Amino acid sequence: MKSDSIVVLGSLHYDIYIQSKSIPKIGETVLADNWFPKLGGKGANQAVALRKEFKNVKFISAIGDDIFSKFLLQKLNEHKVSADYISKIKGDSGVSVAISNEAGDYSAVVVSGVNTKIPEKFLCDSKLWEGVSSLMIQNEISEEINALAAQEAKKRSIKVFLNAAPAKNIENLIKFVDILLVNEIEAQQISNDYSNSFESIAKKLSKKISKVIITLGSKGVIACEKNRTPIHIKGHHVDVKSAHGAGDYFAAKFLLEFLKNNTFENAISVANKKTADFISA
Amino acid sequence: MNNLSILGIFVADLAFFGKIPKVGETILGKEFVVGPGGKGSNQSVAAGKAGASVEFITKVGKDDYGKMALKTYKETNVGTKNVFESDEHSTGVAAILLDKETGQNAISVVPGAAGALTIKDIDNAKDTIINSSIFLTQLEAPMDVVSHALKIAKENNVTTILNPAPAAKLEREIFPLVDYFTPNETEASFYIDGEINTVDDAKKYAQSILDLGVKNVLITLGEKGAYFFNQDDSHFEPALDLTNQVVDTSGAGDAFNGAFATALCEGRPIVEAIKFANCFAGISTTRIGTANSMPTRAEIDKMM
Repeated sequence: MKSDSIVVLGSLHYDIYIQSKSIPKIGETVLADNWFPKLGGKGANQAVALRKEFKNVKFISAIGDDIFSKFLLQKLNEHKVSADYISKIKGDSGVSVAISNEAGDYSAVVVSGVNTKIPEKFLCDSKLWEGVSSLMIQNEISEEINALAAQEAKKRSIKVFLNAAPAKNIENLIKFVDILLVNEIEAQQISNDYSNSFESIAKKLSKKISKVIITLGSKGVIACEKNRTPIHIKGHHVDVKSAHGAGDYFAAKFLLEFLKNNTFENAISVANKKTADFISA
Repeated sequence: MNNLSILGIFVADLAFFGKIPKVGETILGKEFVVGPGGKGSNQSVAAGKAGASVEFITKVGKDDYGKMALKTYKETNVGTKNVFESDEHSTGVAAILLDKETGQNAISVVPGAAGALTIKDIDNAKDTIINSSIFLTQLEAPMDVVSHALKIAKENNVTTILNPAPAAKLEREIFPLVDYFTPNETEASFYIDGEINTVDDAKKYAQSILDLGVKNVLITLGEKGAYFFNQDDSHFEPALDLTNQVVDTSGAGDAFNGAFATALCEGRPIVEAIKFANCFAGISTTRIGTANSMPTRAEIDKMM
């Protein structure tokens, strides 16, 4: 690896994870078995997954001044993710509830709280970017701060990796992005192409972004590089225990592998296999 | 000896406002609010604020939500000597997904520590129960625990109130242990072969409910009021007229039950007790929240 650190900018949530036999439908009250608090937010999940295998991760996010902030700092510390770039802001920490069923599917509601107010101060400081190889961002915080970070990274020829989840308009961001990672629903919304032809969606997106990866769950991954033919990497058939956090796990594994060997297709294959193990473990 | 003891559950109500997600979907919500909840807990807070000398019997975890429960009881004069702490279980939570535009909700309740209440816990709280003049409970705690507590109360001549919420099938032996059975119209309908929406419906099915074996019945009928009956008497007491003032009816049943039990504790005659409960519950619907919407005794005294 040429450079030695990765900047992750993104959300940090107190996740309330509920294990239930079924997920309540509208108008329904379901008695569930168990719940536990988890460190969550796509930014935090990706930072933690990177940190497991990689030392220099700078995670930029925010916590509120409430009862959840203590738990969040404690969990980041347990995972050895530094709190140097976590700003404490007056207001509510980000929270989410995920209700999972026995099949491993889940529904979630995220309330961003102070994640929408992550300050710009670190991003404009050149010290942050010293020795940084990549910037990893997602769509759970405001597009403005993402765009500012991406612009700063681009100026310094740092690779910008966007996991555009959840799907939203990324018009102002797209020109700074080197690698785009999306799932099926996000791919359709961003390309405004609701066909199920993901090869052609990948091809279309790769006209604007040099590397595009679309994950298709059990069906594997479609990827496309600018001016190349899309490739399909098949899924691994496993018994899913929980798909919660699978996208974040894939994103981190891909980036690490890609930085290590710089081969696009191989990095996807490795991430694909590791994610299959992760969701069935 | 004018004490009230209440058995039930505490859960932290975690309300997420936004669209309600489908399976596999993640929604970006608008707002998140945490507050104390659980029917037994809400009823205890209502009683504490209504002026009762009340002890709440429940179980919480050793975590932030457990601390929230204890803080709530301290602020509302609810006795906590029978609020047990579990080493193994987290405090219960209810994730309430609310769509403000459509008024729809989807709820997931994890009873947690309160779901792990045991018969032994009730035996440990026995002194509190038998030294009460009124014992009140609901159907959110484990059924064997509820039934054991009702038995202890009854054997020791403590007047019992069962608020059968949420409605659930009861063993036949439970009904004779109940002095006051306080369902709302939906819960009342669950126990008979019919549907109760109006006072006339309630009158029509009164005998069927008494035939279950309970002594007195008080059916709450929302904004209409409450209908009381037993083998000898009946009385309908209309609710406060709050046209255009109602903002949130969640917790109104808990307000009613907590206040009704308080009034009985004070030795008020039945009609007066219902008036007191109507007034208390009515005011709570003009404010947002469940436990946090309960009025104070001073407000009630001013109105009555």
